[in-house]
Amino acid sequence: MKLGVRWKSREAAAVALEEPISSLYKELREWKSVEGLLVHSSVILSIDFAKAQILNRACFGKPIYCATSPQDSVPTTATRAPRLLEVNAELEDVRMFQLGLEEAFFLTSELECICICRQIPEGRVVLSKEEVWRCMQASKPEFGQLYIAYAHLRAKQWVVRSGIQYGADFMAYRHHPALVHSDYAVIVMVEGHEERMKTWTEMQAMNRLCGSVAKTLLLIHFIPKREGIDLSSPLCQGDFVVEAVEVRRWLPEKSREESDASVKPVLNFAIS
Amino acid sequence: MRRADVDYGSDGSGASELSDDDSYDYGGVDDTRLRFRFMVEQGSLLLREGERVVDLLEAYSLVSTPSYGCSWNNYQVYSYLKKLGYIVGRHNVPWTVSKKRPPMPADEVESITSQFAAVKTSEGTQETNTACSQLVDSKSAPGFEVNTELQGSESSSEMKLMYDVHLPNARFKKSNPGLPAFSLCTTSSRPPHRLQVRALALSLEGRPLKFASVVSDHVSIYSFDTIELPNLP
Repeated sequence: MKLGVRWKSREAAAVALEEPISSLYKELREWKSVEGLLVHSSVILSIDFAKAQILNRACFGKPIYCATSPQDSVPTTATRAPRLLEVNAELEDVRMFQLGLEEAFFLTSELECICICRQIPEGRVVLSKEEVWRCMQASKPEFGQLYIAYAHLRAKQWVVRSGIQYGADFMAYRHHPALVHSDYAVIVMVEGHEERMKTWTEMQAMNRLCGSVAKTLLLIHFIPKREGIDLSSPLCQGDFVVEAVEVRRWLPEKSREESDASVKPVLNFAIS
Repeated sequence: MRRADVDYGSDGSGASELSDDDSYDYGGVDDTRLRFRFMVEQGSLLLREGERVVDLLEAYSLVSTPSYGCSWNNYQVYSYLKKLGYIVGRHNVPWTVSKKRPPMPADEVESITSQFAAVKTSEGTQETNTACSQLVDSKSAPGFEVNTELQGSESSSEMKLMYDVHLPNARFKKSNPGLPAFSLCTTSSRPPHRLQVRALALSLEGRPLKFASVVSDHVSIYSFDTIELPNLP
């Protein structure tokens, strides 16, 4: 079983080791309640350059490039729309950031660095954690189970991004994707309600896809501790046991030598 | 099940797997049937029933007969690994039965047989774990006669530990095979459930476990190992 980190370069390794994810979490915790606007399936932040940098380095969300984006933040490949409005010089420093639901909930619930609000006719109203959970669950039915897996990985300082490009729920990295190759393509499986990986064909397809992009398939199983768990509350997180299973295809043509690690016994058998 | 009278093939091709050691008795060793069919396929064995030579087609149909844990899919897995040079034996069945050692008492054999046959990997019931732990406690020691009459009516949809696989090794000794590199479970048309993997892994006490899937003629082997994701800095 591969234990080492796959850095993209020696310089990347040095950068990552100098700034571990835990240090970025510490910086985020020092924010004073930044407001995030819940818009159906995303949360939008309006933040300054320094905060945007931290979110980028910790790999939460992505910037939205718009007419008010400062010149330096627009990528060279993006076409710049002509400005129709006079832009206040002070706003030049404002960056618009878009967070996914899981990312936003983690920032508000675990790191407590943002508070989420919603726009109503009377103005903006700040939502409680339970209200945020319910709104997110309403806009995305699988939000609850995806969030538990997301939070499980993030709490261990793994960087977690959307896995849609690979047909998975998430991609898990040991640090920023610019510095390290992804280790895992993550699929969430809820005991008793598994919707994926039910046939060998699908297992083979996912494994093939993962193999072609040098990642391993990781199944995260949720085992309910009791019957009738209410997914409409964030407290349901404590009602599941989470177990991670690595799925690997063994190729006998390549494993004939005694020294091959793929047939070594697995040392771990623990539930987190 | 008719007993195969073995003829060591007149074409002289291939190396015989059967040892010259005369202390071996193959009458009761269960995976012999599998090996014989393979050797017929490789052209290094002629199987006779009385005066008649059993042809390859008939040998194939014999190996697919669902008795003693045989099935066409199981045979394909065996054949696939054997052709790549791996040493494959039936799980928990000794490679040899030495005539020098006294046979195991009949009631102990019967007890192990019924426990082995009773291991059905159902959806993670307590019974499964109990049966597995009983198997662990009463593990077969080398040197006794095993007539493990596996249930003849076992369907191929049950998931069970089928083979112990050793890496290719010219110095492999049946009298002292050592621990297998891994044990292999053959599966039905679906991947194993988490609880099935757990039950089988428990019975192996942490030794490597893999699963074979056979779709038509394509054999793939997977492992489903539970891991503890590390806390990163």
